Amino acid sequence: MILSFIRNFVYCYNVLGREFCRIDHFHISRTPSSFWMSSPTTICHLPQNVFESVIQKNLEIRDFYRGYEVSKVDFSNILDKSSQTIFYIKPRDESVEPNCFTEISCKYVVAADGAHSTIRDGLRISLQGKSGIQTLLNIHFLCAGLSKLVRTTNPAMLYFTFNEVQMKSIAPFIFSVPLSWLC
Amino acid sequence: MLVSNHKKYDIAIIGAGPVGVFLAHLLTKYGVSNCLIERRLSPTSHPQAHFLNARTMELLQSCYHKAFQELKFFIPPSSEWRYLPSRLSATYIIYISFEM
Repeated sequence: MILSFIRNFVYCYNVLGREFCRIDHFHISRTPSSFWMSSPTTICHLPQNVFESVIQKNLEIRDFYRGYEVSKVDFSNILDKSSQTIFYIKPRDESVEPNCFTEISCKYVVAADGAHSTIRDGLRISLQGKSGIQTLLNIHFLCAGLSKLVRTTNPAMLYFTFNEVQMKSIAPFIFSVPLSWLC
Repeated sequence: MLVSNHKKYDIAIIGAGPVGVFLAHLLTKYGVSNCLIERRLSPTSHPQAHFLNARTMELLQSCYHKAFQELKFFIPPSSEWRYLPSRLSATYIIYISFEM
């Protein structure tokens, strides 16, 4: 059942209407058999939000400060290996602990806060290579009727919808099928 | 400024995305004191990236088995996989997902 959804990218005038092209990504060229011999597992196709939920659910860590933001970082000695780095965190929801900070002292800080990392910016470490390759706007909306129609009549993973205006500006709308349909 | 708690760790990880969570898991597994700090109240609801390569899956299989067992549900049979050429050439993409 999953395959019927994720194998096809559909290029169309609208999701349920005229279809220009359907690309079956599972029938273009075979992956060399040596690939499957080289790994005990395989590639996996799922959106980041599902992946994050799965790994966070299974995370067994004692001190997970969820809903906390970092403030008052002293970057002056953060690159000094001999000293401790001290910074402060506080809950974003100040009604829980109003204006109350937790002091974090550590040997190392790992900035895993994404492409727009505030820690990296604070240290003035710039990204290498080309930036701003694409601009994306995510819009989430609920539509039970549309989801039922698409699921039963035209399953695909992505729908690239074009009209005359979008053709000129090469800015298609892309509809994504949420993975919750497949579960 | 009112400081109510003082905590000391070997490593503080800022950001509980895939990298931060996996690192926190590995450090905990190998007995390194660490904390994980995340600004968001819940995991992202945006699809964002949508592909895990084989090396990532190998690491999950060997080091994060509980999560790997859940992820196995999403792996199509290997006989069905092919190269996935990119068809995206748009400068601006509006990404819309619709939920039930």
